Amino acid sequence: MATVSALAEAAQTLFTWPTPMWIAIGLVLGMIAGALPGVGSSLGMAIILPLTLPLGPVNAIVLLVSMYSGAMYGGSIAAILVNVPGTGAAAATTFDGYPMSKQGRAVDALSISATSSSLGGLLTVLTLILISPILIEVVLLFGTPEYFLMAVLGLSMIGVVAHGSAVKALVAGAFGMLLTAIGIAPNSPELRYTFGSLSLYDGIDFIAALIGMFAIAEMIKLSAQRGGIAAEGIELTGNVVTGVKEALSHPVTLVKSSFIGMFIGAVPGSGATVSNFLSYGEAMRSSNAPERFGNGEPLGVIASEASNNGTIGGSLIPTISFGIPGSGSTAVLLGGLLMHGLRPGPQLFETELATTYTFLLALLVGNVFIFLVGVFLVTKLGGLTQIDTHYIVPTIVVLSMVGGYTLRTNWIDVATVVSLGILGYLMVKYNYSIIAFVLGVVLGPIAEENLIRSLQLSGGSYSIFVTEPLSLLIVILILVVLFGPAVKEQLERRLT
Amino acid sequence: MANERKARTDSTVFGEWYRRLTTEVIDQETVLILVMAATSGYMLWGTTQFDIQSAARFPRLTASVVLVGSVLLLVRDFLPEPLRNPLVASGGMFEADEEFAERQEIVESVREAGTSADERAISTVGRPVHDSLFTSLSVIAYAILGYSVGLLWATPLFVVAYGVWFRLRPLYTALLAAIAFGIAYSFMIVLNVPMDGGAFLLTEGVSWLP
Repeated sequence: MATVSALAEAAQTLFTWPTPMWIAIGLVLGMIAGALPGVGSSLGMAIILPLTLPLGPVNAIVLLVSMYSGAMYGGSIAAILVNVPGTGAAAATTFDGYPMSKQGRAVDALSISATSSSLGGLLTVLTLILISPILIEVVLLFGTPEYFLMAVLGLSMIGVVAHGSAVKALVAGAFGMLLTAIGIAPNSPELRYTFGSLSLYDGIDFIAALIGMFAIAEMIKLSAQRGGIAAEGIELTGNVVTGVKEALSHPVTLVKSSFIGMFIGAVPGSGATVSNFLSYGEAMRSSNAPERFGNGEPLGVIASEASNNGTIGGSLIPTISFGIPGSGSTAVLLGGLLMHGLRPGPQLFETELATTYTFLLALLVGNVFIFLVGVFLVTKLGGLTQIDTHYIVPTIVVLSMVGGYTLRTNWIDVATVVSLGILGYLMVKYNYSIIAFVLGVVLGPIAEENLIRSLQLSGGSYSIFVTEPLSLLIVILILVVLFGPAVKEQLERRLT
Repeated sequence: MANERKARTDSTVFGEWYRRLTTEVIDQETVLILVMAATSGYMLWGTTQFDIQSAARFPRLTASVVLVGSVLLLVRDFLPEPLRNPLVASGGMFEADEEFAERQEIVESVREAGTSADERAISTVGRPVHDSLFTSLSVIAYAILGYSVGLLWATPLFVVAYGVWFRLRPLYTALLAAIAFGIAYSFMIVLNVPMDGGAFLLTEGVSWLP
């Protein structure tokens, strides 16, 4: 009953002015961020975060989730028109999207992408809303020790899922957590690593860290690449109706890809970059004519695009339930939630249930909007992919620096943006997971608070983490995740 | 003529010196690991100075993980194989089908090709140092200048420096600088954040600004 009334309240909020306006603004900004080379959802959301300060929590989060959704679709525009995916989430779209464009079916491909993105998003968000009553029951089982352990599990999962060395990812995550120890300690008046400076009493602002890691690091990388990205001009020819019909005529691939996306999205650290490849692979595997893939096969675009928007619903599950983001974009979203005083976990499912449903419903409405914009206005967005990156870099740097300073009018935040930006550039260059680092920064204060509170409850004994069945289960999961791959390798070696 | 030849020789000498410095002397990954190791080492030592022991627990735990992990990464080439493997092996929980993996690798390599090819070259615009190094240094200079004279005034200067370095057309550079100034000014007015004054110059801000 509480769920139904919260849903009704959420629907009312959603259609009360100015919330619909923030949905539209978020989607358009997201599509622009997704279509601009080198920008994408995480970066776009990170630089918009400081601007949400004057907004209320509901409108701010609605704006951010709409940007997330819009950017997933926006990424496909560059993938289809210029063979350069705006983000990794649309990488598999290039396989068939670009060949379709070269065959004079660019509009078909963009319409397939819009329809698949929209339906993939709709299906998975609807599923998320339907399973939310079960999710609420699960979340309420978690206490202080379990929340600390979930933070550790989240970081461990990223270590295992991330491309590159798992140890590098763990070090990156722990380093992020370590930096959050700067400032006044939680639950005690101890000043840590402040060097006597008042500016450091409140520690490092995690939004500044997000801006540095996602925006400055990416801009340093982008500035070293050649300006223009358009290799050859693509004419926007084809038919919208044919594209929409094509997408709708493959419901099995559409549904399967959406749920692959949702499942992968729910695993911390994987996200749409992994899911679009997996869905594409699955569509190719189950096809009667796999040889057509890579030569302009619409099924390839459907699989990739349905899965990347499907990932959104999945990645929201650990984010809003346990405060563990499934991807870079959800890490920024989590930052937004915390910045506006919304704590993931029981709070979002009890006192703030209506707020939670508002942004889930905003995603639903947003997906309809994606379809409409994607089908009718996409020819206008195509021009964005031609913008020289050297015009984007200084603009994003300025937005990041000014945004960083705006957070608390504290120069430490600007220093954080710059230093973590350079550190992030090196981390990206040498395959250290910046998602793990960002997760560490965002989760650090929550993890420490839950660790201290747990130990206070147990009188300083660490046994509190293994005495309850649920916490014991999470500890076992952490051990399996951390040592499973090494044990498996040893076993395989012995057997062979 | 002689001056021009001397300048070219100087530039070649600098180029060679810079190339050797960045390829043979400094390994950026080692620098990154050393930064993490030194920071965690200092913060681990710092926990011994705290008066309240409960406040030391979390930083001690995380600093230990970072310190041990970074030292292991630093010496990975000298470790025996069973210890080295977990340090260099990829996580990769989700593996694609074999027939598809090849295609995925090709696309990923094509996607990264631009980056690596461009980064191998010193500069995409024929400058003597890496573009990424210039951008990093210019962002640092932007922050210092912003602190000294105010972000509002430092913003167009940063954009002009960037435009000149990357040889953007003067008209576009001027337009970008104007847009950037507009962004900073909008933040200042809309969010009521003082950006027109610095720590050393214009300390009271600028009274004639609307």
